[in-house]
Amino acid sequence: MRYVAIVLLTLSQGLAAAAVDDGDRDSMVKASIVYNIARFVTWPETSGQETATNLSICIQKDHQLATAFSNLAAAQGAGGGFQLSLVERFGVQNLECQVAFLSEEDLDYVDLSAMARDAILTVSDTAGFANDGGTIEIQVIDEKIGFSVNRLIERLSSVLLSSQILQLAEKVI
Amino acid sequence: MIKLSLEKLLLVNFIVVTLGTCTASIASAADSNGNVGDISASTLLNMSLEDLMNITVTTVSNRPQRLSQVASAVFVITQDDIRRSGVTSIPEALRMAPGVQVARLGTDKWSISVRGFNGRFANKLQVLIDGRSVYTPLFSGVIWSEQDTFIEDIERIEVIRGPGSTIWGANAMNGVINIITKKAADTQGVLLTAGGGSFERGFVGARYGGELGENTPFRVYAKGFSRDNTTTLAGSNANDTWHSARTGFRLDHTRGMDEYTLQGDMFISSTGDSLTQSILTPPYSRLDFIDTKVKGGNIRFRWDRNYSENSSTTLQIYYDRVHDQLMPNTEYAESFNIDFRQRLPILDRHDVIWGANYRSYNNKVLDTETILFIPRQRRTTILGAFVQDEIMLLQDELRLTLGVRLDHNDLTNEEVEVQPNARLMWTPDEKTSVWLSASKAVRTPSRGESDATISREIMPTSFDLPLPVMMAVQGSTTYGSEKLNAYELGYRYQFTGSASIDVAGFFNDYSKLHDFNFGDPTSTLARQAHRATPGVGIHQHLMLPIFFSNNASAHSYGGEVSVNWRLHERWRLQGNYSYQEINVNSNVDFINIDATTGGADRANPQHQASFRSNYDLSEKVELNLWLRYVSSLPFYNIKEYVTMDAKLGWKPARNIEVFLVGQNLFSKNHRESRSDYIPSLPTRIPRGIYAGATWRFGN
Repeated sequence: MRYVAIVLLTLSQGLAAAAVDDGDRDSMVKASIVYNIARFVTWPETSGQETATNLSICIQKDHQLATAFSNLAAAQGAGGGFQLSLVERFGVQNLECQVAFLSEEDLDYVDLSAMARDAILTVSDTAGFANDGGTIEIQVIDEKIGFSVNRLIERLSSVLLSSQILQLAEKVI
Repeated sequence: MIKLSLEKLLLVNFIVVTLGTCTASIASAADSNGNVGDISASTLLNMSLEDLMNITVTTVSNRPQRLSQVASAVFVITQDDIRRSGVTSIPEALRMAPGVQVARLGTDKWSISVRGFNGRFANKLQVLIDGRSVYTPLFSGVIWSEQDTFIEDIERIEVIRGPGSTIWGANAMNGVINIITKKAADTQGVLLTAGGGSFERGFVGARYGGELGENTPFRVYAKGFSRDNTTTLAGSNANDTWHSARTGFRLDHTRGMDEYTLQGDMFISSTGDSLTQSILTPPYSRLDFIDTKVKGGNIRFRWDRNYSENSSTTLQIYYDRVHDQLMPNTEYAESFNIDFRQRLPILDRHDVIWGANYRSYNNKVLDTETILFIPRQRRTTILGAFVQDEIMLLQDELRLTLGVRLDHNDLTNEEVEVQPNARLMWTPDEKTSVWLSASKAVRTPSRGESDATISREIMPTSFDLPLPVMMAVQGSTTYGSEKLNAYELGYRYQFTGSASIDVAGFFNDYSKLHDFNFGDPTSTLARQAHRATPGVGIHQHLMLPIFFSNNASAHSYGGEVSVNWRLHERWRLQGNYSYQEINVNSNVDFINIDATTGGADRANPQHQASFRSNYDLSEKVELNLWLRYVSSLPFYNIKEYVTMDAKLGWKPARNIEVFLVGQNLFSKNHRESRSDYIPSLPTRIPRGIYAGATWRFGN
């Protein structure tokens, strides 16, 4: 029992410290990668967005990465590279989005095919997203953040990913 | 010595944790300015995509996050956990999971169970490798020495505590262990690994992953190892040196909405055992040293059609064959399985999965002096079907899962086994989840319990006993399934992005558990001796039969706490503690003989704890420590033990890792448990040190 007490004491100290540890570095890195990918995307003219300048990224306001995106948006200052829209719910007010970062819950009701037809680049860190009809799936592999691309959806959506993106992708479906 | 070391360890832990707390607080303050750790948001914005992708993160992968929404006690052992721990086998990796009892009985033997009732053939646990059940029908357990793969190709091991019978089938009574290997596309390029040391004498492995076409990745691997013997309690060689070679492949193909997988493995092992055999002539027992070869293979085909993100069809077929000369002396044991599953959404709120499966076992067991099967060869089949509906009662907050499975097994007298379960999951916010469940599960009889005669002990002749008496456990065709009503409650909380806690409690009410009863002694010819060694002679003796019965009952309760905490980007702590109490009501004649039921309250550890620290000293050097505690097993007079594994890793280049691993460092050797049913000599598990290197290229 003495050994158990030792382990429990250590764990309890850990929990106390964890309560004040707000480090969300991974989320910031993930958000930065999404923004960086979007910089190498060309949208069709009809979408009113040919380059990434003033690119519009949408994320559901309660998503765990929303804060990270907000911090990035704030850090870029006036006239920055992207505009962030925190939406109540996808499917209702996503018409102005060029990039939609979707949660697993969002996938319960969004129509990925319709979003693709609207030239929206769909991105998610939900496992299997690229296989399930999303364009870009963010993944953590061996402690590094990478991504997979579904080219069928990319073609359907008529957005164009640069060759650099395709080279860096872990997997191109 | 141990006591002193632990006290020092406590002091060191306290100091480093306190320092870590201060560090975390400073990091937290920085967050309020939009900066993270040592990288500001504006720096991140200006970094190239390549640089961003090279930043090391420790975010758990999405699959475990999705599992966190499952209304059952789930623990995931990732590939990174396995690599950092330095373990070289699947059984050793399972020590990381809470609620799992892992006891090594020798170099190639383990007892593994979930939430108690452990034993060499622990029979209340379902184990699958890529969906292929490796549960042997002969003894309703898992022969762990036959279960292996290329360790670097394991994507994750899911350990589900509590019944999983609806989805995984009968015998997933106390839990399910699901070993999942990576897809072929995720194992491209070459990986070479080699090393050696004391207990791990030497190992070598190679894997190559390539593509047959744009949508057809594949991999092939080969590995081999040699592990040293353990020692008996007297200090002699236990004769269980283990050499093994294994090869396998996986081929994936994607065409539109269809995914196909063809996967197979083959292995051969050379190992041994020291057995105390009961014999009918003085001195009535004999120590045999047995050397043998075990070989086997399997092939699996799977087809998935994904109609949409929540609608799919899966068909899986596999065949598995093993030949094992150790007890039970299995000339062959085959299993053939077909699984069909379909997932479909109904009326927006319902996510329905249904499926059916057919499994056929065909095996032939040769007689030994200890075990014989009548008939030697037998084919048995299991037919099953299940349906499960996950109902969203309140959007994103409350989910109810109802399911039921129907199984029919040749070995059970009952026509159909019904295994229902109900689970409720409440997620009041993104960080909190509370779940509870009630399930009914069964453990169907094994062929051993139906057809085997196992010689347990010989009582020598005396003044009162003119003939020796052989006590032998005899299988019974009237033996039925064990039943369980299980009730569970769980709570998970994500403190921040870097710390989480998972708590689960359970109450298991078992009925019709296996027990033993003495039969009437009879005079008979020594059938066992005659059949095992024809021509040697027939020794007359009295037979005292011991029959299996379903007369025992038990209840167990307990809980597990696991904590995952990333102090900062380079330091991660993971700990868990498990407690269980087992109360058995069984035949008092056997409570000091039968460890599997009558003595289960004393043959399973009441307390277990595991504490892991994974620390990156720099970009290139990492130090991983793993402290474990297991309480005593009074049934075997085995004391509590505490031990530690350590791995020091160095990455001179991005694709090369050189490592030094120490296992069971706190003592020269220790006892963990001992074999039941099969009379292998009890052993001591030694300390081990090994070094090695891994090189990846071409991916």
